[in-house]
Amino acid sequence: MPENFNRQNPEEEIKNLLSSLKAKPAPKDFLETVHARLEKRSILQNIIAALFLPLNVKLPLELAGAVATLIFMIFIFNSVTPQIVNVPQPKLPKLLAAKAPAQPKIKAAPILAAAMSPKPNASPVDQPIEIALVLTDEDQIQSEGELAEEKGAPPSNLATISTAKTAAGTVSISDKQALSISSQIQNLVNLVGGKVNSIESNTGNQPPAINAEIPADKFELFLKELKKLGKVNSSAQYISLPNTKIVKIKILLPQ
Amino acid sequence: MECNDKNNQADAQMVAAFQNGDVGIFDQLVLKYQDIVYSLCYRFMGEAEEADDLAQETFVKVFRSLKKFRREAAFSTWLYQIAANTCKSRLGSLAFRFRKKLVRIEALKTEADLAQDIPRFELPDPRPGPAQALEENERDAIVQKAINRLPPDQKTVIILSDIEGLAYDEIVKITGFKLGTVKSKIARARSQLAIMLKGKIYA
Repeated sequence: MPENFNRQNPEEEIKNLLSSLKAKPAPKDFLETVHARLEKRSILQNIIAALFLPLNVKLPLELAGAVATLIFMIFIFNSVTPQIVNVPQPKLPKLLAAKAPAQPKIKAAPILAAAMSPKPNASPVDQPIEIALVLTDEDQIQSEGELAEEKGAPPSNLATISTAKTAAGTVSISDKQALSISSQIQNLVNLVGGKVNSIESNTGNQPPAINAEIPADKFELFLKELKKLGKVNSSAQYISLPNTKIVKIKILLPQ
Repeated sequence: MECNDKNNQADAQMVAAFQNGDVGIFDQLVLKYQDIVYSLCYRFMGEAEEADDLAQETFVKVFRSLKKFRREAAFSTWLYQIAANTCKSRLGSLAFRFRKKLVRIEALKTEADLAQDIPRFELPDPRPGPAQALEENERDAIVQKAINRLPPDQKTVIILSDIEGLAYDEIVKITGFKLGTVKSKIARARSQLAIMLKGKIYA
């Protein structure tokens, strides 16, 4: 022990004491152990060290990157996915839901059309199916405008019309009513997914008609709705062919 | 100072050679600094096994980072920095602190020996040997025990300053402390050691 330890300045002596400590030599095989340690580190350790060390720097950055990627993916997904919106089916106008005629309904039962078709050689699907719409006395079809007009109409007009109905079984309709029926039929064609090709006006001999095409699978539905407008007579019978997709129809309007 | 500059230049040349692809030059760096690094780690940890492990770890880190070393500071300063940080991390690790706690509990039975004025690290050696060497070993062990009890920052600066003999500005670069902080921590560490070693090294 140092006998001449300076008690007056212990800090200085401590410094001298520490500086007198001998250095500790490294083990003789130190270099070899360092090499062994360098080689020992696996690829996985290198990857982990590269990805995660230092933790306090890399981990927050990687988390932020993951969150940003997630937000970006959600954004892309929402942009690409088409939004499915339930469009409510347009309701048919009140007038189309008019009472069905009391006469027995004609069912569009599928029977052979060859015997009925005017052109025996022609394929049934090529010929438009003629459907005549006949208004009976129980049908009350009025356009929106006519509703207001007839409210104030004198009873005698109604009686005349009623007489005419009784005599012929059909009712004569005004231009406005014809327009209303025509528009209703066109709406019906559109509703079943078909299209109106042409509208023929009254030429004297021929009644006004609407030429249209409707999907074959909606034909029966179309007929059912059409019968709500009046009596329906069809010149040819519809046959359901497996490959038929479109049916041509010609609706003869009441004159 | 001249010696230092020459040393730094030599180091810079070796580092440049390594960065140019001469990986074998790393062995020369290890051989040059292994004793210094090992001794530093020993003073930090107080035991040879830990010192060996941390010294190896230091050189592994040097090897992996040497390509990116920008040579703004001297290589020795950078090496000291890595060694000191590695040791501080280990000192602060839960596993090490838990292990030290267990050792302290085991060592409680020797407190009675200390109270009877028997040096704690008395190493009875039945073989005949130089008394001076034995005395030095004992003194070394007692001083190391006192250093181990210092707080980490004080321990770092006192080892770099009084044991390794580094200048204040170098200690500032290694530790990142301000100059005033380094000086005050050194003074504080010395006074703590003086209190702890009273009655063991001197009466």
